[in-house]
This record gives sequence, structure tokens and C-alpha cells, in this order.
Amino acid sequence: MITLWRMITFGVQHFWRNIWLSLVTVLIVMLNLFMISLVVGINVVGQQTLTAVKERVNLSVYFTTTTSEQKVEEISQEVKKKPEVTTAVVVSRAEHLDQLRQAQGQSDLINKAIDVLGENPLGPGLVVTAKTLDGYNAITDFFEQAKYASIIEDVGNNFKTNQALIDRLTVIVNRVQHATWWLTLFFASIAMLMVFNTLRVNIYAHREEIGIMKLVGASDSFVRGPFIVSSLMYGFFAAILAMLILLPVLAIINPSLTNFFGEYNIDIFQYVRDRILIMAGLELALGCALSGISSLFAVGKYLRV
Amino acid sequence: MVDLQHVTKIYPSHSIALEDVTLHIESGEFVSIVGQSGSGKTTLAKLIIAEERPDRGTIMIGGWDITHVKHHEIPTLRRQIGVVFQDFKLLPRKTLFENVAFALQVSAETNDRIETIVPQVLKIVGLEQKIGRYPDQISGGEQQRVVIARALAHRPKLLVADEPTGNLDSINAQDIINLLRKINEFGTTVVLVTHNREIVNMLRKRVITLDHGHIIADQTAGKYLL
Repeated sequence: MITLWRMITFGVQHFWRNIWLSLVTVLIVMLNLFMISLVVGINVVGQQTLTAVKERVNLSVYFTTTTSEQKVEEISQEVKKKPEVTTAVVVSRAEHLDQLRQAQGQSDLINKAIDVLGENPLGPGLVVTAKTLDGYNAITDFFEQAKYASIIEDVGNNFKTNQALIDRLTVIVNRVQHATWWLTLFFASIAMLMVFNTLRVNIYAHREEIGIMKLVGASDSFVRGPFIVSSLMYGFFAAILAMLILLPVLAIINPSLTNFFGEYNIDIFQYVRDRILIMAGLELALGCALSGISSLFAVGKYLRV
Repeated sequence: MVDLQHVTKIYPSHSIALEDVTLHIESGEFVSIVGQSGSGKTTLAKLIIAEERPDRGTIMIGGWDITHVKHHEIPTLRRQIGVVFQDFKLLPRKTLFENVAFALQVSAETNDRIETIVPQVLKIVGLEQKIGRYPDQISGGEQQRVVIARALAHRPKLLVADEPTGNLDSINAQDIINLLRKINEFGTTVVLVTHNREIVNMLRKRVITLDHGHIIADQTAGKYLL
């Protein structure tokens, strides 16, 4: 117990008595933690955007004008039973026409065409969303059943076009997700190597002291202990500083980010604020673990005296 | 106290530092190991404190065969031997008190005992007034005296001094030798590694002379031969 207490005391003493070296080490560890946070942040923004894109994909099925809304409602209940389906919303004929008018910006041409026809030329519709992009294939198969062939307009072309688009989107989304994870891993690895190297340089500056400690009878653990305690302090202060800098930086760039993504409603600042305790804990754990493990290995090299 | 039997040490560059060296040092002796640079005297000191391992032969310290001492046993061995180095080897960021105390802290001595012993040994070497200073705030001679105080802190039976006067002027060197003699008079075996002719001739104690890794002379009350 007394030995443990002495290692902690020496570690704290080592931190303060080498304050400039400690400050530089804290600063470099902090910058790397900040870099890891930013890379993970970019990944989060990327994942949120992809999720938003996925959520915006849906399958619109349009029925013939003679199909009653009750029939469409029945089909809606049927399709909802499929495990791939999240929602199935019935669009009435009037709503369908409104949507068309909104899409065309109240153009006179549309209004004149409807006046000539004398009635709403559009049938009811059904907007289906799937849990995953892959799920749309199963839903497409459902509507391609022969029993619906007579009530669904332009069945073949519409579905095939959608399917090709969905397949392409699925591939792109998966690739982008893969790429962002690999990029995160790559940059995080570089940051970790930089932390390890900083700690190595720090310990290198004390290699003679390590040798002296060994020569006067200190055991390996008694030499290592204080260096690990100091390193945990580097990690601790670096993590706190990284969080203190990260929050204002996010607050500053958040409006521009939100603007940039517009309708996708990306709010990274809110995301971080909602998870502030978890993130602070992770930063602390990462900072302390990186510094502690780095110094554990770095000291080992000079213990063979 | 120290027993070497047919010890050979060869460094990786194939240079033979010691070859078939056999010597015995009794408890309470004051022995000077002398020789020119490269004669193997520092290697001999390093073998005694297990900083180096012999390639052949056996080394016994106080009845403990340290020839193949395990890495985790080395601290225990070193806590029983006081070592004084030419380049002092003080911890620069610790005060004189903390430097001496460190030798006791590594062997889990209580704070009360440390508070008692450290001022005592610093008083023996005449530095009780500078207890709170850092090594770079005192002279070279004083630094060497702190090293001796640190070596004495755990009351070792054996003190190995490797060129303790190498970095000191003649007055400070004389002080250090007087200190070592005093320590020897209290019963501690002292092994002094040196190439200082004046000191060896003045001591009139046992002298072992090394040349190119071999013992060429072992005189009971000898002089510097080379």
C-alpha cells in the first residue's frame, strides 16, 4: 500500500516538476484527441446524412382511377404485414392531385388539362417505406403479384426503374459507410501513433533517471508506476481540454453545417450535447488509456539496467 | 563477502573485458581495484552490482550466487550494496533529501524511518544544511557526498565506488576518500575502483591491479604499480 501511494506521489511530483514537458505532452495528446473527435464527428455526420437519405426513399404505388380507396386501404393493411415494411400510407385521389399541382407549381397547363378532362385523372396511391434499402425488392415483388396487375398503373416500368435506382443507392450507401469507417480508423490510428510517439519522446528525456532508479534498487514496477501516473494525468488533462475546445468549435460550425445539409436536418451540436457525459467519459478513457499504455511500453525499453 | 571464480566477460564486439579472473574479498576489507583505462576494472564493478552478467565463471556476494541472478531479483541485490558512481547519478528533479530517501523508499521503508535515517546520513557527509536543495544547486564534491549518503542509507555490508573521485579536484577527492575510510572503519567492506595513483598510494590498503582483463598483482598493503 505504501509503495502504491509512493508511486502515485512520485507520479504527481514528476508531472509538476517537469511542468513544461508535461504541458507540451498534454497539448499534443489533446490535439490528437481533438483530431480523433473531429474524425468521429465527421463520421457521425456522414452516417446521419446516409440515414436521412435512406429515410427519404420510399415506394409510391399508383392505382387506376377505378380502384376504390377502400381497396387501397386493404392492400395497405396487407403490405404492412410484411416484415420489411415500416409504413404504408394511403394517398387519396384528391391528395394525389394536390401533390401533382404542388409539384408543378400551380401551372396553368395542368389546371387547363384537368378542366378539359372534366374530372380528376389520377387514381389513389400508396406510399410504402421499408426498414432497409434491401427491403424494397421484397415489397416490389409483393406489388408485382398477378392479382394486382389490373389495378396498378404502369406496373412494369415504374417498378423496374425504382428497383434499379434503389439497387444503385444501396451500393453507394454501403460503400460510403465502409469508406467513412475506414477513414475514421485510419486517422484515429495516426493520432494514436502520434500520442505513442509523444510519450516515447517524453520518457526518452527521462531515460537516465530510469537507469539511476534501477541502479539504486528500484523494481521495474516501482520505476514504471510514477511514469504511468504522470501519463494518466496527461491523458486526463488532455481529454478535458479537448472537450472544452470541441464544444465551442462545434457551436461555431454547427449553423453552417445545418445550413449545408438543409432539409436533412443534421444538428451535430445537439447530437454531442445529448451525449456529453458519454463523450466526456470516452475522451477521458481514450486519453488515459492511450497515454498509460504508451508509457508502459516506452519505459520498458530503459528498464534493462 | 565478494568471491569471483574464473570470471570471463566478453562484450558483443568480441573485446575481452575480463578473462579468468579469480579473487576473494573478505568482509570488512578496503580493496582498491586499479588499472589503466580498458583494463576491466569498471566491468568488474558492474559484475558485482549485476549491471553486467559474466560469460563464464561464478560470482558470489555475501554467500549469494548472483552469476545467473534473475531480473526480478536484481533490485533486492542492489538494495544490499551501496554504489557510488563517477558521474554521481543523482535524480535531478529530486532534492538531496528525496534522493537519499529514494534508496529507502524502493525497499518500502516506513516514512518514520526515512525521516530519521536520511538526516543522519546527510549529517555524516556534512550536508545536513543543504537537505532541501536540488543537485544542480550544489558543487560536484557535494554531489558525490550525497551519492555516498544515498549508498549508506540502507546500511549496506558492501560499498562499491567506481571512480568516485574521477570528476573532482584533489581537495574534494581527498574528502571523499576520507569518507570512504570512515565508512570502512565502521565495518562496511569497500571496493574502490580507481586509476588515481596518489589516492591508492596514500591509502596503504589492499590493491588489486588489472591489466587487459587479467589480475597482474594482488598486494595486501600495496601501491599503484602501473
